This record gives sequence, structure tokens and C-alpha cells, in this order.
Amino acid sequence: MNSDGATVLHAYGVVPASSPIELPSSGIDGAQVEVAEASGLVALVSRLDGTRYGEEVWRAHAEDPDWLAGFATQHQEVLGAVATTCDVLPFRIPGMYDDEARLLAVLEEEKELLRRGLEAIGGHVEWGVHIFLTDAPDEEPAEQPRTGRDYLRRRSEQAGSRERTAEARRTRVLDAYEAIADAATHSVANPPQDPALSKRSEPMLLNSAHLVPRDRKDPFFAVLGEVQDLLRGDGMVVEVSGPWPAYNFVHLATEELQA
Amino acid sequence: MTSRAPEGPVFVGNRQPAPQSLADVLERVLDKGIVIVGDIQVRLLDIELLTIKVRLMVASVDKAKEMGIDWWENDPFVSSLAEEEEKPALEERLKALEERVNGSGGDREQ
Repeated sequence: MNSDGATVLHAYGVVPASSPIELPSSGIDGAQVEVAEASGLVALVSRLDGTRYGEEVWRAHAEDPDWLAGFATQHQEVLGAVATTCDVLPFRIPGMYDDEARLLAVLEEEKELLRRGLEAIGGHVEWGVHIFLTDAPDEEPAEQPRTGRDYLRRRSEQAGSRERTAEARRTRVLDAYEAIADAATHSVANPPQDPALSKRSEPMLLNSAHLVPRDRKDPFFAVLGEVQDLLRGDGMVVEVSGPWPAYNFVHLATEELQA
Repeated sequence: MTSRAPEGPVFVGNRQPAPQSLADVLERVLDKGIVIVGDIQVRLLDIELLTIKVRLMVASVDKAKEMGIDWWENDPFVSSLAEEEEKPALEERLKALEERVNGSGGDREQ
């Protein structure tokens, strides 16, 4: 617990010391987004009201989806704005510090990890890709079965046909992922998002993230367009989101360390 | 090409922009990103647990509303319950709601 308690410091992430940064006009709760420099790194921070973002408040809201979503959204708004023009290594939340001295001490301790992370993602942004099944092709209309055996055989054929269709679809999605990954430096496939959070009713067949050099955005989008053209006939639609800070690729920092 | 990068999802197929998805934000901010030691050590819900919790909350509220029960929307008891206890576990809160519902439900079943 710091001696003051009135304010706490939130760190959004770090950017390379050499980068010119366009700081967003405001951050969480309208607080100013500032920089804290140490150890060859620049952290993006905001000073927040301790009565709204101190330890007790975090404990009280640790399982509160609405509160966490509000904080997360504002955290990402700052990072997303910075990422459009500057490399940024995003921090996971809470990312809270008693004061600047404490943050700088931690940055000094972790400077190797953070430098390697910035190096690994340097010059790249992350793009998210979803493939949704929006329109399953119709099954062939069945003739009226004449006997019980016909009926059962028809049902079995339909089930088999659906299974083969689903299998064929899975293969096409995997092929699509590989084609997209070929146009990126690193790629990762994540579990599909739950409709309770995504608010989408269509099945999500792919939820992937791709680290793409800033100057390779056009070829990457061209591949997405080609993939969309290939999948359209099967009732699948490709969506892209971004540019994101490289949330999904921070593990490269530790892999670099181990190399 | 020097056009500004899209700020949210771009439908390569439909050509209509959509608002940036909360799911996209939460799965990144809660579960990805660099973890370095901070001064507030608290275990937050990861995306899986958060999803389960949202589904439980939505299911219980929807079910109750289906039955015509929405008293909590203006009930001071619900807000006072949250103040009295430290941070009741989800199960306890649902149980408390159910007990209240069953208490008043008997009158409505005609």
C-alpha cells in the first residue's frame, strides 16, 4: 500500500524509447495518458483515482463482467490508438502500480523481457480473422420414403452427408488459415468465441490472430479477399478486425529469451 | 496505399463495418498481453470463466423474466444485499434470488 493511496498508476504497455508517439487525448476515466521513461523503455500510463481503482475496488470487481469489460475497453482504446502508428507491447490488466517509482523499478527488473518483446513485434501489427458460417447449403430434397427401411436408410445417408459436409468444411477452413498465415510473420488460432460474448448466432469456424508487418497490410488483405472468394460458395464469410497491438504474440518475448 | 487503417472489423465479404466486438477486446485484454508483476495482485476472471458467468447470469435473468418476474430491477433489497456482504459468491446470490422468487412465486401460481 503506498503512503498516499489517493492515486494509483495504471500502465497500458510499453513502446520503444526511440519512437515518436501520438498520445491519445485521454485514457481510462478521462485521465491523461502520460509517459514514464526508464531503462530504454517508455511506459504509457495514467494516474487514476485510488477510490475507484485501488486494490479494494479491484478485489470487489474481480468477477464483475460489466466492470471488467468497462476497464478493458478503455485500456484497449488507448493501446489501439497508439498501435496505428507505433509499436506497442500491451500489458494484461490490472497493470496497477502504487506510484511511478514502483513502476520504474519493475520496468528495470523486466527490461530484457520487454526489450525482446518489442523487438519481436517490431514493425508489425496484429489482425484478427474470424470465419463464420452464415449460410449452410441446403440438403438435397428427399423423396418420400416408401418403407420403414427406406426411412432409416435416408436418415443414415443424411447424417453421413452432413458429417462429410462438416468434415469438408473443416478442411477448407484449415486450408484458409494456412493461406492467411502464409501472408503473415506469425499466426495463432484461438478457440472460437462463445456466442454469449460475441453476440453472434452464426457458428464461428475460425478465430485467429496474425502478426503482419505494417507495410505488408495490402498483400495480407489481398489474401483475405481471395480466401473470401473461395469460401463464399460454401456459405462462409471472412471478417477481419484490427489493427490491434500484438496481444497474441507477446510470448515471442520469452521464446527470444530462450533461443 | 496510404488510407487510414480500419478502426473496427471489416467485413471482407459483406463490405459493411461493424462495431468492434467486446469478445475481441476481452479475449485479448484478459488473457493475452504481457504479464509483469504489479502492485495489485488479484485473480481476475479469465475469458472462459467470464463467459460461463455471463451465461449463468443471462440464463437466470431470462428465465425469471419469462415467468414475468423482474422485481429486482427496482428492489432495494438486492442493492442492500450487495452492501451487507463482502462479495457474495455467484451461487449465494443466485440462491438468495431463487429463495425470494420461490417465496413470492407461490402467490402467482394460479
